[in-house]
Amino acid sequence: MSERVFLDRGARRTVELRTAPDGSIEAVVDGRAQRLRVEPGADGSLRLDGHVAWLTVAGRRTFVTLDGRDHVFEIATARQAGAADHGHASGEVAMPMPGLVLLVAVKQGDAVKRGQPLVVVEAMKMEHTLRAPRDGVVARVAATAGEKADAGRVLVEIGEAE
Amino acid sequence: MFHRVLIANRGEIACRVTATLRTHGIRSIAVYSDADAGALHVRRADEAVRLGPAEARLSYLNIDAILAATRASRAEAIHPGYGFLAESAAFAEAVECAGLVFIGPTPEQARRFGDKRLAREAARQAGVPVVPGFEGADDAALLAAAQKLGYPVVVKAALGGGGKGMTVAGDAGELGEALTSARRVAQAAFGEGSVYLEKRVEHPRHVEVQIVGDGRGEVVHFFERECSLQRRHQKVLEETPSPGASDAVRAAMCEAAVSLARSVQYRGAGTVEFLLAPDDRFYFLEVNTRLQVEHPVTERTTGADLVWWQLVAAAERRLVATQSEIQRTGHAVEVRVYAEDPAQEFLPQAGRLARVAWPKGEHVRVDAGVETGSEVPLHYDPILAKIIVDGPDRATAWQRLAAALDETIVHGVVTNVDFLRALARDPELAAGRFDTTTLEAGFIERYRDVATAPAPDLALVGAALAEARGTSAGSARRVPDPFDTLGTWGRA
Repeated sequence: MSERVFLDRGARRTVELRTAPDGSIEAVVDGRAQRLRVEPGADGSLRLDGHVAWLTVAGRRTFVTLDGRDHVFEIATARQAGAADHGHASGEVAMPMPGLVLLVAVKQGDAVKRGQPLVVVEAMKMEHTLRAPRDGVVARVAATAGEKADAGRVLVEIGEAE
Repeated sequence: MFHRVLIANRGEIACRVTATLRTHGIRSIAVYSDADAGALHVRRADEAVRLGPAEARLSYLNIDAILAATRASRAEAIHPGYGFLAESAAFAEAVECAGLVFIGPTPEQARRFGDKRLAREAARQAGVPVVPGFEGADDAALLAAAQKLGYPVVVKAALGGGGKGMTVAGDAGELGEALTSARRVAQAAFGEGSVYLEKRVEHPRHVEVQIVGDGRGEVVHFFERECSLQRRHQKVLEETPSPGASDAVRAAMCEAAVSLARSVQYRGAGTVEFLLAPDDRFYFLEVNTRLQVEHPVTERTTGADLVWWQLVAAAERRLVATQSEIQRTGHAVEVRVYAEDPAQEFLPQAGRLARVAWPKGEHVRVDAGVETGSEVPLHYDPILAKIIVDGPDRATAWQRLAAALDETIVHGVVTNVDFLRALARDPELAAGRFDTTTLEAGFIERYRDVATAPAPDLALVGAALAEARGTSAGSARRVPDPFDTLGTWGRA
């Protein structure tokens, strides 16, 4: 079976699955192999080696609830899936909801670290800090403090580091 | 009693009010914006009227549209829910001028408690302790007052409340800037830039008392609620009784709340909020002149239906029962489920809920505004539901809360459920050791470290199984897939 590539909060994770002759499943996650039993639950859940998992594919995202934790994985695009390990996360930082740009903390050419604040926006009467999804260099800044922006508009683009 | 009531709200609170109307055979009329045409609260009500476009200003905040909807649907009264116009004196007044009944306080009471300076004055006159502070317009006087009160002081918007437009100043140097910024925020948010000063109470608990008045001077209380677990002054988890209030403090607080409400002949349901300091002194904070999000913990422990109490106070100017008939037993705790990403600074989320499963059981109550397939619009407060759990004692209620949250599955939009599970399982919080600063003084940061750590391999295996299933089913270029043998799992 082919390898599947997910983005786990921006980080690239790979999974390969195959069925073993005894009906168990062999999974290789990021190169780590394990064998597990998978059984359907009566309630729409799935049991992975006895752990109850709730799994939902919603558009490009897959929601997983397992052992009392929620996880959301993005299904990687072909480009992201093919990307080398260092440049995995999408570099686009977009307006999460309609609102106001309060502050732009970076300019084109700035080197940024993952998690570094890029833009502060106000929406739903609250301030939100948008952070760099990964290390890189600011390739483009398309936001000005004080302007209104619609949801989805790309404000900053992070490119590869030199 | 009314025959037809219009609910000027949306989401879970509109569903909650509809439930009581149905119980008592009163016809419920929902309103909706274009973003909510297919929403659960619209389908739950007996009738529904469109207000306008998605933008709240043109729909749920549009007084003319709501009055027109009320007339068109021949409703006699309007229940405002919470948020939107619930605490607007102008709305209460417009409703009364239109010859309709506002299910809430009089416009005069809404106005008095809406202006926090007037509210503090009312509390002082009723003999209720207020946070030491100063109400004045002049910067020099404010500066002198702050010096006398001792730093840090809090600059608050006169028309604010719920933490909106609040700025802390640590010294005289910071005060000037705090005044300017608080006035600017207040002007933008409330159309009035007046501010006042309060001394900051260190490490307080937030404890509040539920009251209902008949509008003629009779007022009863329904004991207290503890709401100290907050983030940016937004409550996250509420419970009753308060683990931080002794019996003596609780009794004094309830008495203070009733005296204040009696002094203005309060009408309808309200909440008197207090800060409880570590030395057991308590101070009046504000009055919320509406039903609170957290009212169900009071209902689960007293058996009262507070929406029914509101209806009776509004329609008949009387109370459903006397003070001695209101007894509290056991413990109840509530969490608020929001469409927000706790690992990304609680950024509100929107989208379609692909799967919603709520916990069940006789000790669990869920007030939900959404179900599988619901759209969560970006335009409004992102609350999806409240989960309320009760037990004979606090420890049992908290254990049941953790179990209930494990049964709570909301997929399709990122929610704070994962964060709520971490709250319910935290030994310090479960032991009742917290104040209003606890969540922001480390808990949230620690949570973020856990939430942003790489997911366990098994979760990725699950994701791959789901995706294999999702993409193979009905697909033209279907490849033979071993997971077909796994039956119908995963169908939301």
